[in-house]
Amino acid sequence: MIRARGVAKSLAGRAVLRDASVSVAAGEVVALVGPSGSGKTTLLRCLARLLEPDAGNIELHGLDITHLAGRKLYRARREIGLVYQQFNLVRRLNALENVLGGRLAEIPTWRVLTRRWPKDEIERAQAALARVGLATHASQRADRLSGGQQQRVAIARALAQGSRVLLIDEPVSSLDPETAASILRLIRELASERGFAVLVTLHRPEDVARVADRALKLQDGVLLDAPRIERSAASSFPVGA
Amino acid sequence: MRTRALLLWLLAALVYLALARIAELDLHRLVVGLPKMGGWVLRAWPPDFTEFPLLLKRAGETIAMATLGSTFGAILAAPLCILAARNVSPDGWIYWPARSLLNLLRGIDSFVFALLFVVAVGLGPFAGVIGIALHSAGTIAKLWSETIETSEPGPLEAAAMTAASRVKLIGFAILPDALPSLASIALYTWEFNLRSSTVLGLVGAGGIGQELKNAVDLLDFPRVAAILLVIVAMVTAIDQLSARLRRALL
Repeated sequence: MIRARGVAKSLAGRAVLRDASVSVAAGEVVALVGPSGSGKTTLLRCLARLLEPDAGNIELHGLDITHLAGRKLYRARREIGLVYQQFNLVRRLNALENVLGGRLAEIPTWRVLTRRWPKDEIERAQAALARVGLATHASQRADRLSGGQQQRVAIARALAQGSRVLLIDEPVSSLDPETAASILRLIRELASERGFAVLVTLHRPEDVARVADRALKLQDGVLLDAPRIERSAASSFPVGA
Repeated sequence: MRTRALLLWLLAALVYLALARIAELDLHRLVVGLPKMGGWVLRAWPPDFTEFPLLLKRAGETIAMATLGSTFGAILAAPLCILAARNVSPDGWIYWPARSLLNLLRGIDSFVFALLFVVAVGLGPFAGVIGIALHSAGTIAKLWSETIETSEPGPLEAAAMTAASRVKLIGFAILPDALPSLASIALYTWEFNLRSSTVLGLVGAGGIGQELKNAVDLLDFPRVAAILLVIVAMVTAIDQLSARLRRALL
């Protein structure tokens, strides 16, 4: 699980986060909502320790990681799978190699540099790709995949990394409704099946209703409970999605 | 506004006049000398290809000098560009010394390096190879580091979440996307070095430039013409090959 308590962060002199507290348990999907520029991405980056919080603390599986540095911080980060809005795939590598990117720490340097991947790592990456429904696209270059497929590759990379916490930044904002629904369903399934703790930033209330157990609204740098979600009413995914 | 523009033009004219004086520009000398040069051109025809195999051998030396020098330069540039690229440099303290070293290597022309190394390794193409390698290392590393600095930060950050080493991160998240540009820079430097290495013979560094200097010294104009034709053919062929390779990479 991941927890933030009283996190504050200012960027360029503006207080983006004032007193943000959130806790996501294993198997839970929490949606983070709020207008553009409200600090949702900043909060995710603070949780992943890619940004240093000005105040507050962050716990990962019960361990305070707020002040970790060096190797200890790197090790803690491996527990966090960050899925970006822009996917952040290596464009000229194929889908399988991008998923293998989640395993870089375990693969010898010479194999990474020569791209001669170990067989067991290839199998693991293939399994991750299969889980996100892209088994047949393994050899396709990342920049030739659709937006939805690239998002799936990014999720598969987080799966291969072996993280138990997923921080997902606006996964459906640039996708058509059908693809968006399929991505949200995948996120929901991963949380339920594998016990991932998922914090996902979303815009549309219907998306929140589909995927999240609860939602938090980021307003003026503070996280507030969003109106209760009636998942039973809105959680059905379109047929074929 | 108009007066200011006029003053600027006047200032520019004065600067250029001063530069012309320093550079000893003299139109009269050119007008008098051109017919003499025309006479040389007429005397150069037909080009003298009686020693064509030797010219080819010297052209081969020039190609070898440029190719080896560029390759060694690229090998030296590989670690240097990492140290001099702000986004992947291991630490802040190494960035500025690395950058300064690149400026030093770039600031000294391969011609000057070759001149210095002729003293160390003697006359011949080897000094030229060293000269080209050192100058190219600075040029290639600077251009490579700038390419790396402008690469997308996202894939690097995503890969960094795995806690992999810096070498792995660069090899995985930067090189695949940057490789066509990096290779293109190396090929362009190779082309450039081929052209510049034709004059390395002037400092005794061998190659076709050495033959050119000898022929000019002996006022053997038909031989000069033949050498110039060989140089043009060689440079054109390499330019074409390099352009094709660069197109294939992009």
